[in-house]
Amino acid sequence: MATVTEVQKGVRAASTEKTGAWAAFVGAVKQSRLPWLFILPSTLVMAVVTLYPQALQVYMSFTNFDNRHFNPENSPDWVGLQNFEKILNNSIPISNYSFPRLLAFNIIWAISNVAFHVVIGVGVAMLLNAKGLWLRRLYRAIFVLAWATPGYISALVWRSAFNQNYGAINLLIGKFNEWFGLHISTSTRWLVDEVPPIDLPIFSILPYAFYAVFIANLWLGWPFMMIVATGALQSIPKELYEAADVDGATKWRQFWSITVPLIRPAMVPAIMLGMIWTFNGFNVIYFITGGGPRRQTEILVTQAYNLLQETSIPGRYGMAAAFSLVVFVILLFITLINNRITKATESYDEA
Amino acid sequence: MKLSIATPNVSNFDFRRISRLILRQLGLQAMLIIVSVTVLFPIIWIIAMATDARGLPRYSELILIPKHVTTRAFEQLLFEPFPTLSGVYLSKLFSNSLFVALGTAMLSVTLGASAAYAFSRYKFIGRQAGMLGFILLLAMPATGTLVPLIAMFSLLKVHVIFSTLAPAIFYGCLVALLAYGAGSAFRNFLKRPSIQSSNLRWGIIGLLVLFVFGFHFIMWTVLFRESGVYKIAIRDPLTATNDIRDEVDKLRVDISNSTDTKVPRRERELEAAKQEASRTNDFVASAQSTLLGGAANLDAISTFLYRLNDVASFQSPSLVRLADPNLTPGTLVTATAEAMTAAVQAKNDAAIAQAEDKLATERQKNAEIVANLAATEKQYDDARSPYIKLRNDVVKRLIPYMLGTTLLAVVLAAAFWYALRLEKIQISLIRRERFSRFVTFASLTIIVLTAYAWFKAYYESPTKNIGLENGGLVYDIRLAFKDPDDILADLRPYEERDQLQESVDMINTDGIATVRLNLLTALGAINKGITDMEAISTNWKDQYAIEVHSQLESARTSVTKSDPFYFANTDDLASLKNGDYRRELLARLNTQHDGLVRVSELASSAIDQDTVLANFNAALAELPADSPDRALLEESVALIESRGLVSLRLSLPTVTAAMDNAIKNTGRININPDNLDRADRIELKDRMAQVIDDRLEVIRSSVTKNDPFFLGRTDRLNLLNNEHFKAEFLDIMKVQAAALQKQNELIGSADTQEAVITNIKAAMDRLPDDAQERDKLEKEAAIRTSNSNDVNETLKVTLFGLMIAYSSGALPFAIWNLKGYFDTIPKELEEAALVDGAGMVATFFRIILPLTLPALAITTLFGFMSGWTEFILATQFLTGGDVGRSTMAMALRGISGGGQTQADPDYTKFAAMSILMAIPVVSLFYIFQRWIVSGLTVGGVKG
Repeated sequence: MATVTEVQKGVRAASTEKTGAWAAFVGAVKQSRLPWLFILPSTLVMAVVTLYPQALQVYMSFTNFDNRHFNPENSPDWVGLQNFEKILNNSIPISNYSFPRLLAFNIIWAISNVAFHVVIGVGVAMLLNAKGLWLRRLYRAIFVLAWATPGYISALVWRSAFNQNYGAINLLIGKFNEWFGLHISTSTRWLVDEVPPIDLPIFSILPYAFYAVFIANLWLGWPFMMIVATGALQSIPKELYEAADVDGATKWRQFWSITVPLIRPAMVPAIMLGMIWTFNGFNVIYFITGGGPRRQTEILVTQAYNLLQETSIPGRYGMAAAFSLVVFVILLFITLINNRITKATESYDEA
Repeated sequence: MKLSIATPNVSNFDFRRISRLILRQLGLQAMLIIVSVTVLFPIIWIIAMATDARGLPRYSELILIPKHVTTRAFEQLLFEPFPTLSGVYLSKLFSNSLFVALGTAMLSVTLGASAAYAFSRYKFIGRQAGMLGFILLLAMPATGTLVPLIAMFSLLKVHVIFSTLAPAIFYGCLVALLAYGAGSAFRNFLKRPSIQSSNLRWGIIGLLVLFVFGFHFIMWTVLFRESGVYKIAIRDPLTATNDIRDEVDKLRVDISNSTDTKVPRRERELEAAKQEASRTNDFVASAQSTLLGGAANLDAISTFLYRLNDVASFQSPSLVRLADPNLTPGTLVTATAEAMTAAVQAKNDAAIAQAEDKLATERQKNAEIVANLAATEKQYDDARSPYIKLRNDVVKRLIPYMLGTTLLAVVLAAAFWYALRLEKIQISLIRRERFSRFVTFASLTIIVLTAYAWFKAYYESPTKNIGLENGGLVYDIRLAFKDPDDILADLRPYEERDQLQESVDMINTDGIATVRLNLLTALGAINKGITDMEAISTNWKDQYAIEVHSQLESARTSVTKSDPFYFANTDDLASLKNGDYRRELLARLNTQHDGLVRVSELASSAIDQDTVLANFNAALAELPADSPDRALLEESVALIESRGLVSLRLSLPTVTAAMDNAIKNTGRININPDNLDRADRIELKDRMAQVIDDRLEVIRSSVTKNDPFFLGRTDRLNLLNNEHFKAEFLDIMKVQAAALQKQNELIGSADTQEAVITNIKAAMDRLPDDAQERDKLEKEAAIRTSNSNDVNETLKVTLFGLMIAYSSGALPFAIWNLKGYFDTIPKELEEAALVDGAGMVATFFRIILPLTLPALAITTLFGFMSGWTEFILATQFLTGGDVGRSTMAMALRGISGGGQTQADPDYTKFAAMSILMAIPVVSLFYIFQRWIVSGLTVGGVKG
């Protein structure tokens, strides 16, 4: 293969002919020629369709870019850091905008969802892993269905399920009332009502719509955790439990001392992945609540998109670009944490 | 032996353990069933709504298992235009989505594979930076690049052919790939010894041929439905019947309302009335029997009467009988009892009759609606059936072409077969490879060409209703490949014939002298035009060329068609004689002619423009203020000043010659006014004079004022050059001149008028005369020349642009994901191949590619699944353009009632559409489930 000989030549050139930094650099360049050729086509395409738009976005975030600036004859004005200041000072002229609340809501949203996903996912995985269970494959196939359905379609279906008059949820509540003689309201305006159902410190920022998207996202999210947990559970040797049984450990003790440590290496990356997915759960929020009512269920990514639609904000595209950059910084932070935690788990796994 | 082993087991049968196991199993099952129900609940709800036979837009009760099932909603979505997008079918949306989603995925994987390989295998300068860049890119929220992409893509323009051709080529390649894959799989399958030795082989080959035919059938049907002919002749009329269908839907709702609610209510009312009647009757009967049976004391009587009074109000006619004075107290009781019983009876009967009546009315109403529905359905079917029949007819007519392409495919299959045979007789590996490569290439080419034909048929779709009787789509495709010039050349004889006919008519009506006069004038003008044109080399802007052309054309027709002799009374004109009129006309013509001569003299009085202008001005100064020449001279001065002397000089001879001719011919006109009364004659004369005057003016001005040289470009005539246009223009003029020349010759071919007509008719007989053929050619010409082929559109509104925009996110993701996969493939395999002496290319194709094929497939699948349901970019890019360019995701959102429309959606259709859209992705997911799970944990980072 040409590479090997070239590489060898390069190395030899670097080591024998001349010494010093320059020669090492030349050798490295020679070594890099083939890989550069490999990445050339995608680099060219990405330069046009990915990097240029990103650069344009960064530029836009410092300007008052607007609809009319699509015409290259009108160049936007440079406004410096004004957009970022407005975003962080809560002075964007849209109703009910508050950056700290947005961030807090987003974090509550991600953590509460993933916590439930993991608990339910691991629980059902353990049920499925029970010895001598009948119809195991059928159940697995059914549970995966929720995950296999495209999120966009599920979101739209759930949106209609939360319709006040014809949605499945209110109709189901009606049936429950009929069967069990209950008196739960069957006309809850799930996606519209602004009043929080639970009036406690943290819950007071969560309207009905939050519970609606929460239920939908719960439905969507736990099968993934179940699949990962099932894989991890199956790889735990049965002898460990038998030995624990012999030693007289209770089931509870077995769970915490054997199951949890052994599925942790598989679960941590999955949890981080789920955390990022949920944190950026655009489809669920945007297509079910649209951020409403009164932007109370808006998360960062949907707010970034909704800013584009706000025709009342002067220079809205610049503002939206700045917002996206803020979101980017937060996401980058989370991604780095994710990588660190995942790496730490890997080393745990190897050890 | 067996028994002895089994016995201890039976004896040790532990009932407690078994029952505990069963309980445990039941508990597990119960919990899992609860979870399953929760998971399935929304899915079942959606399926129930989509399949409920009532087909209502909304249900106000929860249905999970519909009583009656129908697939009507699916049929409507599949075979009728999409509800929220006018005239767009689901097939179109499907192909759009497939193109965008799969195209993006394949593009990014193809481009990204090499980069991912480099990142995974090599250390090079920039690697660290690149990896960091990827992490940064993947953390960027997708909404951020939306506006930059829109801004960028709004500025980029592509030719409309490109944006239309891109999906066609994509599908061509996709089909080629599938064909290749199927061919190879088939070949491998036949190589299995069990197959090779059995009769099954022929069965499999037969199945393959059938499959190929089926495939072509579908493809041709799709082609047909995409063609313009189909759109105009079938789809649009069918869409027009949607109103009737809406009415049918409404009636269905009414019926379900009537049958399920109203009629049962009336039935219940009748039942209630009957029960009430039997209850009161029973009471009356029992009371009466008690009363008459001897227990007759006053209390009993009064109680009976009192309660009867309660039951039957005293309004019965039978009570009249109580007024009979002959009644004794004993009989009074009996009579009262009877009367009251009768009253109760009557009241009950009335109530029952009324309820029955109401029920009958309701039933009749129901029957009316049912009849109405049947009638409307019939009307709907009647409205549709001719078009459906037409469609079926055309599809039938397409079958020969389908068979043709099937034959082609079978030949290809035979070629594969031959390749197999080659292998069997151990021909060298290289030859076999080469051969199968050739076959692949050939099939690819044929399929891409088919796609191209598809595109042409689609793009050049006719704007008029033609062609179905000529074979529909096939005709459409043929037409698309026809050269417009050929069509025009085919049309020319017909036009010539028309011109000859025109001449004959004119000779018949106006006399040969007039025709000769006009022809000469027109011919002179055109020949002059040709001479002028050849004399110069110039560059016309196209619009000038068209203007000039139309002016020349109007000049030509003005001397033939619109001649005064053409008016209604022309039959008598040959015998008209009007010396005064002639003299008058001649005088005016002579005056004009003199003026023209004067202008010509002045125009040639010097070589340079300034001197000529000075001469003109001097002549003007000499002329008296009321001289008719003055206007001519002023006009000429203006012309010279605005357009230069050349133009004037070029046009003057033409005009003068025309004028000369006109004078000469006017002198010969013989008109006999015997058959007209005076008033008519005067009017006719005036009109003729006016019209001749106008016409001559038009001729004069058409060759002077509207001459190409007069259009403001004369100063730079020598600098300009456009040989192509000139040649084309000359061609047109020469064709016209030749036609005129021919007529001229024919008209000059004999002395007597009758002989001339005979000659012309003889010439006409040599030309084709097929009205149908001509009509067809004219329509074709109109279609082929009316296309505006040079339209550009922004990349933003095209599917191709959307695909590129998707690559913006999909490409980094693909590289990152594939790198994760490549990292898991042991490097030793490649090294071993290298050690064994395989070249770099061989290593890549034989070692790396087969190993990474699953990874490539899964990454493509990821890309496809995300693109399939992408809504935001698609709606931002494609909304506002052609609705035929919507994706399925956009359509689903539109039908779900989300977004701008706050109205409650049609849940049935929404449910059906959700199911249709989810099916491909869900099935792919189940097929590739194992790899998807591992793929997410190995490579995936992004959410």
